[in-house]
Amino acid sequence: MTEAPTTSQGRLRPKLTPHDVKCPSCGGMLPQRSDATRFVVCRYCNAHLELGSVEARVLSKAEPRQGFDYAIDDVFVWHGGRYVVAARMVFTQSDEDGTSETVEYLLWSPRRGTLYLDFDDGRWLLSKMVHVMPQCEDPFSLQEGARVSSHDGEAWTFVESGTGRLVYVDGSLPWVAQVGDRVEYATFQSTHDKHKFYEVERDSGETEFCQIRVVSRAELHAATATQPKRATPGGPEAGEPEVGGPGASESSGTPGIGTNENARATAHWFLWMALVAAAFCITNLVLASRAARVGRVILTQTIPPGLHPPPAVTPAPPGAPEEDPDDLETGDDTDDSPPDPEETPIVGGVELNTDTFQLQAKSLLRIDLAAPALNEAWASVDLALVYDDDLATHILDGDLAHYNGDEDDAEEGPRTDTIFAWIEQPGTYHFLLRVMGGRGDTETPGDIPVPVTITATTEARAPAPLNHMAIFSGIASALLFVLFLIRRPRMKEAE
Amino acid sequence: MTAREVNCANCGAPRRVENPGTLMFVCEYCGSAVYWDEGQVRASGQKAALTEGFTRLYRGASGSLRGKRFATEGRVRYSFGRGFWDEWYLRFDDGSTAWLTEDNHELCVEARVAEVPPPNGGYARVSIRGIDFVVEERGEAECIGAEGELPFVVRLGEKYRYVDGSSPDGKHAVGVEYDEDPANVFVGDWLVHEDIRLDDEGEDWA
Repeated sequence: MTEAPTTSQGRLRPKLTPHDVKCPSCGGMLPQRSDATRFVVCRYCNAHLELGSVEARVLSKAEPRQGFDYAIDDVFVWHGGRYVVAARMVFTQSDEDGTSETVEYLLWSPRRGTLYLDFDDGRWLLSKMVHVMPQCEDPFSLQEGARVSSHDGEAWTFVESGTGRLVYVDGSLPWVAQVGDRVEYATFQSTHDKHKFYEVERDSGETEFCQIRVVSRAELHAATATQPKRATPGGPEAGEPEVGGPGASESSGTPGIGTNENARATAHWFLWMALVAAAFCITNLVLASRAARVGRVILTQTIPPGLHPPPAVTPAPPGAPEEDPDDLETGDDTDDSPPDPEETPIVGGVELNTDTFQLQAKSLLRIDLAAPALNEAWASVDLALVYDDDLATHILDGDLAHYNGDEDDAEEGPRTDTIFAWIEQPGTYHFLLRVMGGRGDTETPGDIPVPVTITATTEARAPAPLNHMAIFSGIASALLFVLFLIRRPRMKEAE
Repeated sequence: MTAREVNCANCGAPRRVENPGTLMFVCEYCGSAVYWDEGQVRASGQKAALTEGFTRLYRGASGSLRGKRFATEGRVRYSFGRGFWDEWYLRFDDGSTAWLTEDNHELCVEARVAEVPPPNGGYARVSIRGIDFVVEERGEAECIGAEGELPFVVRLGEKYRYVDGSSPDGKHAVGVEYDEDPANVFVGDWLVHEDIRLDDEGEDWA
């Protein structure tokens, strides 16, 4: 005796037992996701099949399309409900702005029904069907920007209307879809939330209403546990069912999709970071170059050789005070302090005062030394920046040397030098210089062998920090590019 | 409530029919549509069985609809050409009955409102019991299967025109079936997933 249902104790739920449909075109066995399925695209031969009560009928055949972000049977979890990608559709829309394309994934749950995930105009949109209607007579003929309320109290701005045309479909659907099917749409955006949309769709026999919201990549990532990607058009697609022909595994699965995506993402990240670091390097070099030219020249003076004959090198008598060439403080020719035994006395060269110049407080003074004719020789400049004719505020030095290499005539050593001094006190300044040099390998200081030019520039900028950042970012860029090159084979393998 | 003990007119399988309003059942053994004709149980000669397990509701399911206990007695499946929908026949604890439409897992509960004169097939708006409705869909339905017990005799292959609509706020639904003259009008509510609690929901995924 069959038990009739009672409200106190119902019958147990019958087991859901999917059964296969045999493709009449190639003989492949296709799992029937639901008994409400009316349309299946054969995953082996791409035949479009209309499922009847007894057998399937071939409607047409189509070329497979690559480049989808998600494969048939990929799983999403939204609000605790588990959905699979049951079908993928591509629509082209024609409106006054031209033609565009929307990729739509039909997400199906055996208990909760369907959701639609669209990739449109660079955004991911999740929509569900509702029966809430707009408060206007014809939503398809509104002007852009028109304000419309829906009967649930929401306020919307009309965005666009147009016609969508189905150009591709695969998977399975609870209705018969055919390439060329058209649907009119009118899209509205929420007046208070730019991520919410509302759409009215109309085909020959039905009007439907959708509530739509923008979903972030993070949400998609959480819903799928895989990062969505925009695959290269025409390229292979991770997670696609294998082309196995009739009898091959029905489960496409997505093994390795996360790993592949990670390999690709990591390689791209290294490349992008290398490019960013290179851009930073170039920017700093440009800024450093500009900084080196900033300022106002207040002194240019050339010291020719031969102004003063080099004195003979005579050892100082025992006990006699020894002149320290570094002690350039003016107005005090005597130095009672004991000589530094570590310091080699330097004698010879030219000592002179430059012209005076005015310096402002809190400014940077750049001193450029140059001896462009220096060759197989060296020159050294000890200088004191003298304030108000009698107070040396800065003791500085610069070294120039230029030699030719022995073997391949490589040149070594700088013919220029740059020194910076921070000026605290405004006033009149001049340099007290001691210039000395020598030819060849001689270490004994004498007269400078070639003219030395000293140029002072006030209100200068120090390029050193920018140069240091340029060097650092250049090294980082090179390292990141090397890492990209190391990762690239894995990325290609993943693709 | 008086239960009836009947046997399938085709295969003889016994069946206990509790709902006095039942005029037809589909034998779960042989799939034959069996109906009462002048006190006699007759087989229609048609196989009306449907596969089970793919829908949220199922024959014999019990649960509550917005807190009101019900049992699912039968189902009729209709095709609208491009797809299907199911009509579940519910019986509540208080003896009342209702039809629950499951269309691609979208649920709507409706009851017949015989006192309302049906609109003609060309309308776009209609007001029933103070509720304005707007037509969303119109088409031709074909009965392609049934199971369980039903309050009328289903004839497989029978076709009729229909109109479906909703109130503009999306809360209420109307269905008009032009299978008789005058047409039958049903009014009810759209449901969300949580409005129905089944005693055996099963796994969310098979």
